[in-house]
Amino acid sequence: MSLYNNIASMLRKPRKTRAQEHNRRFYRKPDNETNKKSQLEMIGLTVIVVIVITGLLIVTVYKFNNPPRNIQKRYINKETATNLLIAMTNTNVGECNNLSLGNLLSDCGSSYPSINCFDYTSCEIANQTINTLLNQTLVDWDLSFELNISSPFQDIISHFANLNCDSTSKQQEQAFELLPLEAQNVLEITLILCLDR
Amino acid sequence: MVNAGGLMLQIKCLDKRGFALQFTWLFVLIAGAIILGFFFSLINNLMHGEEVQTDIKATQELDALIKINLASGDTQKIVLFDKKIIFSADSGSTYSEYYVENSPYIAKYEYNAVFSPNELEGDEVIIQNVMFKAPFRTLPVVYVSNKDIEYVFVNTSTIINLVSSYLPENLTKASVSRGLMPDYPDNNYDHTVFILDDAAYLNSLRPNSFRNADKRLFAVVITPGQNTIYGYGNLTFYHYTSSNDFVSDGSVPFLDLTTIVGGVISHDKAIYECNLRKVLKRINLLTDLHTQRMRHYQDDISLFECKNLYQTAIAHLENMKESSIDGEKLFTEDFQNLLISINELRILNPYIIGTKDCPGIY
Amino acid sequence: MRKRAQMQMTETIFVVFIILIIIMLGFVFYSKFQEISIKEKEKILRNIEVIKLAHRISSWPELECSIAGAERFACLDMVKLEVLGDFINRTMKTNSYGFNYYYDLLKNSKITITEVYPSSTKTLGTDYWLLYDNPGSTPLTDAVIIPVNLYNPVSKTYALGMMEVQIFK
Repeated sequence: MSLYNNIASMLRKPRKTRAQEHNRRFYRKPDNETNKKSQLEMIGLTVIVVIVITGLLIVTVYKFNNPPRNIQKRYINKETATNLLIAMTNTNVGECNNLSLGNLLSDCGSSYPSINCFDYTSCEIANQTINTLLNQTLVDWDLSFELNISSPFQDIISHFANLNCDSTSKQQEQAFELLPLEAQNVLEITLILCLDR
Repeated sequence: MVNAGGLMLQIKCLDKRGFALQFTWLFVLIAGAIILGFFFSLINNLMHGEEVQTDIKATQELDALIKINLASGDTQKIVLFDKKIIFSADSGSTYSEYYVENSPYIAKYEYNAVFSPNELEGDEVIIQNVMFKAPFRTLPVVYVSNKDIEYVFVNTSTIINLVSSYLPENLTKASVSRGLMPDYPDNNYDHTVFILDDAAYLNSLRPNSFRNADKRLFAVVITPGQNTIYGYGNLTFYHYTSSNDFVSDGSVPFLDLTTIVGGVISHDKAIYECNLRKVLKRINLLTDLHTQRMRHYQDDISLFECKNLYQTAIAHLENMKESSIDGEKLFTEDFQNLLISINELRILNPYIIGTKDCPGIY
Repeated sequence: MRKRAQMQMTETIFVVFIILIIIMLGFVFYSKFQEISIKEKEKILRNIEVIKLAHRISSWPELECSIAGAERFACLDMVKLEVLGDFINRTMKTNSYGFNYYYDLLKNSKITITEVYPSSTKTLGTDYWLLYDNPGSTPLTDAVIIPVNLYNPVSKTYALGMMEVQIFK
């Protein structure tokens, strides 16, 4: 065989068998069916894309529409709250011979309160002073809080609250201070700050 | 003939294939080498960058430990630190700095009094801070050293014993009598610092056994002032030279045990003097403030009883202010005056508070 | 056959392209939320640092109330406050060592102390002190308040005050 015949034989397409020819003629899918299938696939893909984008949009809208956190002009935390209690109890009360608020509260919480200043008891003066202090500080700063003072002899001596601070608040800071009373008892001062109100 | 032609075609094809194969291998080799080279250099750069980052972080951590705040109490910390730290200071001003070797980050501390040797190398660093009082709380003084520096106290005089007991714990201390000093052995520490109260014994040392004695041997001679053991005086700094002699770097005054220990720990005149100037400047600033306050009390009618006492306090404070001026040279007489005023205020303050029930000087 | 293959290829390319866009969108949203959350945390940490600074200030020898040698926690001497405030204000104009010393500690910040009880008239020098006033352009933290006791050394009484510290860029 000639060179050219070899090349020609290499390049010639192999002949289809009879079975292959038969299949090609009778089992070719109609054009309509092919189109429908690809269209369905495209629709399916579009639906997925739409669902994903909608999901992302819902999450974004939810995040941005959350009620804004109480934007505090001043930052306050648990340590600051504890310092406030300590500073308050060290403060001298001018209306009662410059006795410290802590001394007045200890007297008020004891079994036999004995301090009297101009016909006011230590409890009355202490409550009045605490009210003034809180008005000038936490109330003035629009902070939601609850202050409780209790003693084993008299249960709750004082209770102050502002802006509905209660146990339903999710962001709370608590501060404590203990003052000594007689017979190794203690007066408990608790300040709860609700930072999300 | 036909077969030969077919064969020729096959051979030609083979040639082309062979050529393509060779070219492919060459291409792979060159491209591969370039890619490998790129990755190697990237890794190298990253590693170098990480080392620099670590050094910078180490300096910053040390910074946080050394720059003690005014509120801190007397504490000691032993920190694991295996990098070399280099300290430097300008003896004529309050400018000082330190850096970790190979780190580009230099930490400057112009207002913190940190007494340290000029370099520290070892596994750990000992940092002790002590509040300097004059007699009011002035500033925390920081001692930085490590166990690879040996402090050898020569003789057992009062001042030497006091300084030895005041030196921070965990530092390497040794004692030797004057007689045994000449044959003191080389214990292979980075630095060996001799602390003496008499310079005459300095050159009796025979440091033949010391390797690199000119880089490792130092001495500090304490010369107390008149009528005092550790109130004021002079510290003279020496270093050993290759000519087999201790050479003086100069003398700088001291005020109180705190600064003597600072001088011993640093055993470097420039670092000691620079940090001493910071202490003086702080004394100067505080005396100014206390003086203003005393004048305020003097003007208060309700404190009439204590007016004269405040006047005395002001006189002492102004004396302290004059004596703590940071001039070109520091004079021992100024330190003597400082000590006198400090002692007077120390007696006057409790008298004003306790006996007279007036607001104190400090 | 060829046409079908081409269509399939186009379809695959589109699918990959759209998936990539979705992934990128998701990534952008996630980074945005992370950025906001990190900035919030950073601000809180800075506020805590400011509180620590305020506590350190109350222990300075030039401000602390020392009664018979004992230093009290979070207590400032009123007379010392006035003297130091004047000193810093005076030396700020001359850029001396004194001011530079406090600048090294306080940088760009504003520190005020206000008496809350018994007196709250906000009169400068009486119940209101501007200790340090060197603000920058942008505040880095909220105005952090620290309750302090204000000691009057003459009457030997304690008032309640608030130290307000704000740090700037």
